[in-house]
Amino acid sequence: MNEFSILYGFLNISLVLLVSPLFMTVIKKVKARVQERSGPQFLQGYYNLAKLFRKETLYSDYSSFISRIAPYASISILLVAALQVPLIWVPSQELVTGNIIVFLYLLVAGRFLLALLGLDSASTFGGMGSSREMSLSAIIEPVTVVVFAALAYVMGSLSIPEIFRNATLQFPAFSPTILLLSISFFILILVETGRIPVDNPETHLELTMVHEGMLLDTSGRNLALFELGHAVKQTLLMAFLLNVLLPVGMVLDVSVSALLIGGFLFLIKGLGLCLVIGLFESSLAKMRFFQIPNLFMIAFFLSILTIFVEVML
Amino acid sequence: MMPDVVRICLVLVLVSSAFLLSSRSLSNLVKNYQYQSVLLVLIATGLAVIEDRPLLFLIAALTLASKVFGLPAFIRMIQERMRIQQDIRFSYLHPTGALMVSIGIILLVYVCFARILHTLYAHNSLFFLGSVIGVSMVLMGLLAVCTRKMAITKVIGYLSMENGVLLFGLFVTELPFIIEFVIMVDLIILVLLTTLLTVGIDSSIEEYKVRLQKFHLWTEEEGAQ
Amino acid sequence: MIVMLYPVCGVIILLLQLTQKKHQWLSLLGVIHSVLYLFITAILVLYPKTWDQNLFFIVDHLNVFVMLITSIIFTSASVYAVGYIGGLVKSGDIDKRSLRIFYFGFSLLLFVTTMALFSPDIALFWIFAELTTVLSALLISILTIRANIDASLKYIFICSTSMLFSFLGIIFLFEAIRNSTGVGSLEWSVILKEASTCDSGMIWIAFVLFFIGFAAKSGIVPFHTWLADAHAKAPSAVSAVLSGAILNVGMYGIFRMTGIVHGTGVAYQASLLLLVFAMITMSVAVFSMLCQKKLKSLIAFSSIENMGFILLGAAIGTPMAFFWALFHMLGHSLIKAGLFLSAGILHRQYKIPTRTGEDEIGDLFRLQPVAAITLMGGFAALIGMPVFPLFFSKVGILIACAEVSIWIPVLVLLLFAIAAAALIKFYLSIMAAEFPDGEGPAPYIAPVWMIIPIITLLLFSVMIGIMMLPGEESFLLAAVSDIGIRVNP
Repeated sequence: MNEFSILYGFLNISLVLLVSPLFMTVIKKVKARVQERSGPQFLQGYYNLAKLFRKETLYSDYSSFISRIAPYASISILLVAALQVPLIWVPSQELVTGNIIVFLYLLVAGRFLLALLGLDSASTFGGMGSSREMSLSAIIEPVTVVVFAALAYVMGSLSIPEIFRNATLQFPAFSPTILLLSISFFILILVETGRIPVDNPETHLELTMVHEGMLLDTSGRNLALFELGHAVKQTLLMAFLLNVLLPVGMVLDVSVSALLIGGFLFLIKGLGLCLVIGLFESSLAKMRFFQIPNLFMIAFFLSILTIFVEVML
Repeated sequence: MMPDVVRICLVLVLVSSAFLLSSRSLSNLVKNYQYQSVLLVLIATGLAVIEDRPLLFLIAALTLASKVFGLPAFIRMIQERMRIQQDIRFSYLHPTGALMVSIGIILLVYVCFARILHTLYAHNSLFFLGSVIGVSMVLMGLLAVCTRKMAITKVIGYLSMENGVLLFGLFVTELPFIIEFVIMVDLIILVLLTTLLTVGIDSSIEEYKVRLQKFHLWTEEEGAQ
Repeated sequence: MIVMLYPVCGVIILLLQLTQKKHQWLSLLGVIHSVLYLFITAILVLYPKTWDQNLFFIVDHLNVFVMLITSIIFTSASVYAVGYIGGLVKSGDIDKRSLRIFYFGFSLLLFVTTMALFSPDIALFWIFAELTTVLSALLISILTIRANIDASLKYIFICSTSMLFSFLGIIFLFEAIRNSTGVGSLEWSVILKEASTCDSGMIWIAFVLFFIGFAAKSGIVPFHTWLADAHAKAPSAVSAVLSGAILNVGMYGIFRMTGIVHGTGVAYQASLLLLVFAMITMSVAVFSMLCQKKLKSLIAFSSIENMGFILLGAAIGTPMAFFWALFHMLGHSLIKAGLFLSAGILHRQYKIPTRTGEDEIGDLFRLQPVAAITLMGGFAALIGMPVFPLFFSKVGILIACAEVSIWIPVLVLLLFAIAAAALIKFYLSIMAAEFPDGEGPAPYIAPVWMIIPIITLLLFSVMIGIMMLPGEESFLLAAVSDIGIRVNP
């Protein structure tokens, strides 16, 4: 543990926390614009979080210690995961190791806590949300694993900073594998963050909720932490897609100017991806629940194809 | 740079072939077929540049005219006439299963070709990839023809098979007569589609109408033709 | 140059047919077309010195022989069609406007089949074979009943998708030839010469893929599913042509390909493949024949069985087997066409909807004595009675099989016995059926033009069944050597 790794950890986590609410709001704004509304202001995400932090936290009478622990546990898990995914500065191997398998496990642990929380408040909608989330998860997980496995195979390493470094060094790589991986990752982002066509994040009808259903009984600071956690997860997955497909602005040797330029470029790339996600969401309708595996199958097929193509090329 | 572009197009062709198997809306199928043909045109032009065979430019132009513009317009005309939009549950194999089988097909073709063509082409060459993808496309199109009940989907599966054969022919060898082949197959399909158009009935359509009537989605005025 | 007469006459007749509208003229043009082709083929058979090879056609004993069969069948069918189609128009089954399409399609089918048989290279052969599929499907669907459309669509899909595999095989073959000689070529004669120098793996794959396509065309199991429906539902003149001429095109392709593979290193595997498929085909066909209730379906399955038997001859691969396989092709086409034409007369007779809603055959000898006798003769021929040609070819091929393994003739004879049982059972059931008094249909007087072709076909088959025509044996032996099998004198 030397100064560079502490600096890296501090920078990465603060960037993630800073940028995530902005990305969420941009997606909402894009969707609103498509619907010819004006949508929220760009800083609305921060204002919402600030408001929620000030509010009172209520707990249901039937809830147990899970409702008290889960928000903090969840955000901590996500921040640890954030440590493993370099957004701008890719440190060298001795400083920080990030492992894809650990990353996946962390994400799943977060999801598990959320599902427990949904059950904990003893409300019917919470239970329903949890069961839906878990059934989706049972089908998503193999696909997620295969997509990440394909990424690891193509890039040649299981360590996330290593993957990003290889991507930076090979850029521009007109390789069909990167293209296929990007499509798979895009589908993965939609699925993991619960966007249309998998789940509507802006629904207020409890019967249609999957992710939101589990959060129905949280309030105040807990709700703020969950919203932040959700946004952080999205940013991390977006970072994977962006840094593998377009690794411009990635910093290998640290310097202030490089970091600033890198941060700026990451922001631009992220906003572009948010635009794409927003447009894609606006152009589809939510799929029927049992048709969702078909979407995963496409991601699965593309990932296996990636592995094949990599072998054949 | 050119070989890379050709490689990307090849992989995208395979992806479009998989989408053909799993898509359910008929207009999506036709659009898919158009994209596939556009990719084929790009591959043919790319090969013409790499291999320096001007004949391929002609093939690319022919494909563009007939498969990107001509045939899809014809199919759309038939679709409008027959007024079917969806090919739901008219298959013996769900899209998920079909995609799994396609993965198996690609693997099988790769293994077989690695054994047979190893004397001719290195494993890494563009030609090997092209021939494997060509034959996989043929087999995936065959899957579409065999497992779907509706005639139009079968026709599009057949057209996808023809694309696969064309791709295979482009990569494996130089064929002076492939133009005639292309024209011939398009002619066959035209005749087939004309028959469908003029007569307009086959049993899968009747089944479809009955099913829609059950859901009260097919009113009598539309039904009477 | 005589061969050039084929396309020239064909084009003239087709153009003339486009201008006609009345049924008499259209059917007359159809008959003239087939008779002209028969005449040209007869000249080719009798004067082998006029054969010259040029760029556009290949003329040797094999395809002249198959062309002879084709032209005889087409002539009979077009003469028969004069009366049959006229009857269909009168009873309203065929629209008057479709008449021109029917006759045009019929003549075009003859033209395209001829071009396929005489084509010099495999690619043209493939193209023309595909065209025969499309045209015959068009002819099947001329009666616009839903069942016919279904049958026709199934036919096109199964045959065309299998032909695409054939094309893959052709591409492999081209590449194999190109690798060994430097310049690729697809002409039959060139490939026959160069096949032994090519890489065996590629020739094997080319053979398997090629076989798939033409096996589907000939009705070999498992690609046979279209045949029963298509041949049964089509109008009888078309069924006769399909069974008697179009199935032979597929067999012709398989024969040539087998000859090509014969000299290479994979000859044994190829023969094994053909043997397996032939046995499966015959078994499936024979067992299906046992449960058929309709006459034309029964005859169609018998076609599949006979095609399997011809394939067995090709599988054995000795010159004698090929000799008798070719002879079987001739005999089978004649008999099958006669049977389908008789079935057509029966269909016209019993077409009134009965209590069960289907054709019900009864009082056969009273209502249609001629058709009953020809039907009996045809069935006897199919079973293999000695007066008819199929007897000799069955014995010949079985003797050739016995040289390979004694179990093959044993099994095949068992299958033949079952087929005979099926045919006899069916015939006895329809012979014995009688309508209760007053309920039977009125006797249908078949026009003379419908009866003459059937009688001619039957008499001709009896003639070749009893004796060998002069020059026939040497002609067939020359055809066998044209396939590529060396015939020891």
